[in-house]
Amino acid sequence: MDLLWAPQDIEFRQEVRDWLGANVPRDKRPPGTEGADFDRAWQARLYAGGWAGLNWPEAYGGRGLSLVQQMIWYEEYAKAGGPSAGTLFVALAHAGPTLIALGNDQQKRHHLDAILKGEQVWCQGFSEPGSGSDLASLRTKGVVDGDHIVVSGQKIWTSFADKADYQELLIRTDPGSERHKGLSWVICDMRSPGITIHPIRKMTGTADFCSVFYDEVRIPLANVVGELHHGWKTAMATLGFERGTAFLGDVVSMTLRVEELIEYARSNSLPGQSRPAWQDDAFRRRLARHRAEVAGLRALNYANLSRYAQGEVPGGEGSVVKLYTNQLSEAISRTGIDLMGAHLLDGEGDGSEWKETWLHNIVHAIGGGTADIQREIIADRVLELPRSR
Amino acid sequence: MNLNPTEEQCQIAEAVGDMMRSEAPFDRWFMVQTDMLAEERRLLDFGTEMGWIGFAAPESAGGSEAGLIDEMLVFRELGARLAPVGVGFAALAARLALSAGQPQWAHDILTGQAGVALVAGADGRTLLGAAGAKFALRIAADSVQLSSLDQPCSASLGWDGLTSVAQVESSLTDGEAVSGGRAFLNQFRLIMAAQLQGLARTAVAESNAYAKERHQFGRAIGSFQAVRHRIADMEMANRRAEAALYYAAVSLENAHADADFQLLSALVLAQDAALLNAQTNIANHGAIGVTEENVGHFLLKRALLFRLASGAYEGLLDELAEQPAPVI
Repeated sequence: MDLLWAPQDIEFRQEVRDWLGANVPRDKRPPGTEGADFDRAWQARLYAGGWAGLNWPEAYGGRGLSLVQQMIWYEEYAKAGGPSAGTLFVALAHAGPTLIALGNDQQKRHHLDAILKGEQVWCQGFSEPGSGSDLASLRTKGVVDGDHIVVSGQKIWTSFADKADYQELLIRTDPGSERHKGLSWVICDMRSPGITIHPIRKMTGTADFCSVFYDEVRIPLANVVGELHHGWKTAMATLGFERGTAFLGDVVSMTLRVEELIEYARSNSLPGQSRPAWQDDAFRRRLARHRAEVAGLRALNYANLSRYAQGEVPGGEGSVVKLYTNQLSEAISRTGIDLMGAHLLDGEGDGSEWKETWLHNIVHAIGGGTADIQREIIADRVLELPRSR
Repeated sequence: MNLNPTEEQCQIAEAVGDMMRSEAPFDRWFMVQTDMLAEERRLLDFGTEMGWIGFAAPESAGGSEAGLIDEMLVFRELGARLAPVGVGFAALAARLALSAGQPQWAHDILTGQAGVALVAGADGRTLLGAAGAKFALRIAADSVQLSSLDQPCSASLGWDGLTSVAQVESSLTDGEAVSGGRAFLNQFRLIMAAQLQGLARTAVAESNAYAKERHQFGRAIGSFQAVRHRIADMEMANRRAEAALYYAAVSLENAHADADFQLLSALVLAQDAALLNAQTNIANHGAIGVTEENVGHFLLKRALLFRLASGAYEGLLDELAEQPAPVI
């Protein structure tokens, strides 16, 4: 058991730090879909610098970094204040890896390099109005008609659909099939006739996810990734691709945010008090507890990553990390709200952004599987309890 | 970078766990006639014989000279099986005696001739692990003291139903004493955090096993989300305490600048996990959980006892608040 970095990793950290220091955009990423052009420009810069597709194999133009070096990148990236992948997230983290795993040569040629260069925005068409947590109940149908599939139905919560060039679309192609069987994973060109997109505004004020309607949309059969009627397998192909690095940046951000709150509490009072909040025993201890909790989360990430780096296949413990990350980020922003009090209502300044952070944290706890779904995964896959459903 | 036990370390820990399971199965307590003080004595002797007290003591003093990380892994297993509190106190006291130039004290402790108690309670007159104690550890703000007891104290079974306790005159612990600095305080915290996290893990295991075996409404109760989600939350508390414990052990063994910070964090999270999991485990068991025919109450009482013995929670947080900001 150790926390030692190999010499090449220490060197790598310095290289990353230098590059990010010179290249991370000074401007803030515009919120929601307005950030699409920003995202493309930043991804092109990453590509030019040799930092695109860090976990993609080199054969596909990626960097093929070791897990430890990916971890260093994500930590340094968060420290440097690097922007989120925004509209390119699905392309880089999901569609690309899926094509690498199960795409044919033609599909790979057409998409992979363009994704790395930031030239293709993808969205994910999985959830439906009646199929949220229970994805396998989805009903959007695809009827095979010659060398095309004709798609009719509706998807929802599709992030950046209105900016996307392509969609990874999961549909029921085998009539009469149920649950995980009879589905197909297809590449849908978002400019196809018959597609209607309605953005949905979130409580954060941005409209970065959408409803997507399909009215007899014709998609070439050649766009099926993996096998026809075996789309569930394709959808699950990338589960192991993300190997414990997803929340490393959050740990760094949370560490910084807690220390920001501590600094603020040293010279500012709690609502209704005149002495600095830091002198309030209960509040100071609450902040100190956040320090311990963030340290625990960092250690948990390191422990999981160490196991994956030695070849262990990621399992349900990823849900422990997601649940903990979401809970802790909500708790920290709630502490921020309690500390800022009426400053939250000031137009600009110290405190007002904490209410936005809080809302974002609440939103993030839903995406990618709600807290209760994470607990179900932990119960099934970590604790191996009898299934509830 | 590898924040997990090596294969060899896992084997050592498993061996300790296996020995405790066969030597001290939980169900021995459910027999009416069990003499708990005799059990404490027997297991202290067993711990001495197995070399757990001297595991991280120097070979020249009869120890195994293991590192603090290895010792932490052993104490997790001992905490998981509710081993006598005195094993940890003795392990630390022997090293403190050696470092402070009292090799005879260390010899007596490592050979099991002298037990070590901990001075606890608000008035400093309660000794934990008092039966057979000839020395007492006292935890101060930035140091650990070890004093020789002039006379044996009269011990009785304490509140947790497992640990011998004595109420003594304060003069009893005023005998000859030696002192160790921050490093010993941190070692004490690591040993206590390890046992608390082990206990938190046992509470998860107890709930998990019961949820699979107990049926109501025609189904295993582990198929009900209310139960599953509680155990999932217990597992989350357990895992974060475990990882923090590993991180703290590595920081301490390698004398990293953030060792104090990591130790405090690990102990806070271990205290939380032990108490939360022990209490939730009783809820998961229903009526049987509140009886003396189940291990749940021992886990709960031991969790509170260790929380009180390992440093007041609020005090730990105050110390953590005073630490420099973590380097990321």
